[in-house]
Amino acid sequence: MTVLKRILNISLREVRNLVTNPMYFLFMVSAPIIVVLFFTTFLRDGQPVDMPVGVVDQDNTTTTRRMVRMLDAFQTSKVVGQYATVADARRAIQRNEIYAFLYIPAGTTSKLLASRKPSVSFYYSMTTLTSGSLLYRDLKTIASLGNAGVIQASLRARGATDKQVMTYLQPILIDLHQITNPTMDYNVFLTTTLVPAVLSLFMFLLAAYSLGTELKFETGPNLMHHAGDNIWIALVGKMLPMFFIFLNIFFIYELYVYYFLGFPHLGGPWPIALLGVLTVTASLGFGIFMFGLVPQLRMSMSICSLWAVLSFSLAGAFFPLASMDAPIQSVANLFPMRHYFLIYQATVFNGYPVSSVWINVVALVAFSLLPLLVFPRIKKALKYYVYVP
Amino acid sequence: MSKLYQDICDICLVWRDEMKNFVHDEGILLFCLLIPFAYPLLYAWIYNNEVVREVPVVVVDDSQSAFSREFIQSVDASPDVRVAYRAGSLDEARRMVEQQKVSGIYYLPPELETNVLRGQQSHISVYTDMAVTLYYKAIFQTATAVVGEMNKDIRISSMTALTTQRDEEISAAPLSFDEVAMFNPAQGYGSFILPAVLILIIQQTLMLGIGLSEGTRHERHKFLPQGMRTGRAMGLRLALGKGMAYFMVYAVWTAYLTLVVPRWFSFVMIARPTDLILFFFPYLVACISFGLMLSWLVRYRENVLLLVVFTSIPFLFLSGISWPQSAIPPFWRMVGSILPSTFAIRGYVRMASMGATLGDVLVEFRALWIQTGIYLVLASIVMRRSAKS
Repeated sequence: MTVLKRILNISLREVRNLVTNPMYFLFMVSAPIIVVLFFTTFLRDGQPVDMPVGVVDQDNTTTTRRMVRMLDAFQTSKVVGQYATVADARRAIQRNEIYAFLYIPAGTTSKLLASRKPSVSFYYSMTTLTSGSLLYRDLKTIASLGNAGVIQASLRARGATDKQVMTYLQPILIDLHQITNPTMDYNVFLTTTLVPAVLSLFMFLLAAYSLGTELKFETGPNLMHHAGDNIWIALVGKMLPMFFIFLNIFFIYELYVYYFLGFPHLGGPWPIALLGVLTVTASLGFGIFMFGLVPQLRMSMSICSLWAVLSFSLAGAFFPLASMDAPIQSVANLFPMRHYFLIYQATVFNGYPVSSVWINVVALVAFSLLPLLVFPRIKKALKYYVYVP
Repeated sequence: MSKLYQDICDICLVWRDEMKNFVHDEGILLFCLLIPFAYPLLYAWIYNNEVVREVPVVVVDDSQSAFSREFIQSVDASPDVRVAYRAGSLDEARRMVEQQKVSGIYYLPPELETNVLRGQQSHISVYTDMAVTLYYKAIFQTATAVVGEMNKDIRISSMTALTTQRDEEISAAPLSFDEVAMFNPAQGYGSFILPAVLILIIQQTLMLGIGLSEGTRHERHKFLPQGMRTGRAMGLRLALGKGMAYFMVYAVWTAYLTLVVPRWFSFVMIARPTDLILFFFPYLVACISFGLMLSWLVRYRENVLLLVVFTSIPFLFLSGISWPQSAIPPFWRMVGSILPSTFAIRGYVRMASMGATLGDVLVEFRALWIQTGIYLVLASIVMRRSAKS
């Protein structure tokens, strides 16, 4: 038999496996779709809106009420409760009713009118960083608007024009250029790393699983027989169907987020396609390699899952890797997701040339080639290994 | 009476049998002993530095004036940003961003000083790489703070009619704002994400351990320990006996995760011990019953890895820590209320970092008890069915 025919035979044999064992359909098709839908619908607002905040207004004048209305008018916050004292408001945070509150002490307005510089406080819980920092931003705006209002009134009274007032208030302005994600869409930040990390977890596990089940059900010798005792033919034939299915799933995910949901992709289609291919080959390669190192179904899958779970942190998309300790920064290079993230943010997200991250591309190619090192071990395992549960 | 005694004897038999199984299974030992011990340490190390400091930026100073130097010096002196390079032009600066040498650009235009002195508004441009939110936050907030201070000084110096220094300060900013970040005052990433991760580890490793154990029983068709009677309330006796085994181990782990780890890594932990004991009792029972109930999905022991591992990140999101609870879409909020981890994380974070009492987390406490009741009944039914098959 020719090599191609043998590979085709083994691939057909593998397709039969994939069809008969429901786990494959579940984790190659259903679960990825669920995960993509989960993150994209969960984060569909892009930014949290109408987060509950409270007010302790002990002054209660038109000026302070205007400040409260201003707070309420922001998209991020919604005033849901008035509390008599700071202690009451703090308890409301502890009971999860509000995430932050504005405290206006008695006498604020009269001090303001008398130019005695009153003080207003804003308390916000940082146990959820996302809500905390967004509410902090609202507070900053209120603070400057509040001050601006007072200054504006006094300057107008002295006959200044609007333009003069603006210049006086803000002699220097900041122009912010949020390159590529101007709306600060968290869906873009989170989904583009979390979904590929979950997909790569499935690839890790299923690659090890499909090889391990050959041992478990003692079909390894049969596989080697079909391959004419050639491990290359056996593995290429065996992994091809899985590679194509996962590649398609990954492309469907990319198509969905970049072209249907319109996530920023300045790099255009080529980096997206390249990243898809590299992520799939590197993840499957890693799974096969782990199985080769520990040719045992459960242990190889366990190691793969432990590795994959750490990928979420070590990709460095949320808490940047550069702020972690040096040993962790080095170890992170052993995680395909780290390289995925660097290539993604440089080429797809920011549209820089692939050459700017060539080293990460090389790393993913290396992950794809890792199994070559353990071919002999896998061959031995498939032929002679006896399953121990 | 003797019937009850018999039941207790049976429960103890199952308990002993499950414990034997536990210590003889490397898979269970890995997920129920090594992981709960080691992963918290690993995560604590990863997020050890808590905050992002000294984010490198490049400055393009076309102004070359006192103002621009003041801006550059203040920005460089701030804890969050470091002026790593100076570039001659915006294009050069952009190339540095592209080469990942810096994460942002401050551009000071030539007319900066002249405009300010002429009494016109001038602009400072901030360009940030949006791939990592924390970099964006550091670069933008630092610029805002520095420009805010500079603006105040400019306002003061442009006032001529006023006399005392205090008058000038008040007119520049009539209202003072105090910002108080509560409960996680350093705004640390670790303090924010770790408590939730620690609680989630309990549930996920329990599900893995129980799934492995039950999967093995399915493979071997051996559900009842020797000497145990069948018949009345068999499912409940099995569930309670197995539950005792896991409860015993996880009572220790819960103490380690909620008391020891936070102390070692000095995270805020101000919950009262009695509250913790009362709160985590239903959590553990609910998790164990949840795991036993889901074991009917596990026909082969390896499958549990595929089923459980990938859910960790979605479960973390459903708890409302990484994404504010008020912003979770209603459908996913409903899904989240199925999981014990959702309520346990919410309750623990508020008790441990905010100092809430059990009375403040009554909603979560009740929900855990309801889950405990429902899942224990369902677990008994599942146990009975598997034993009969």
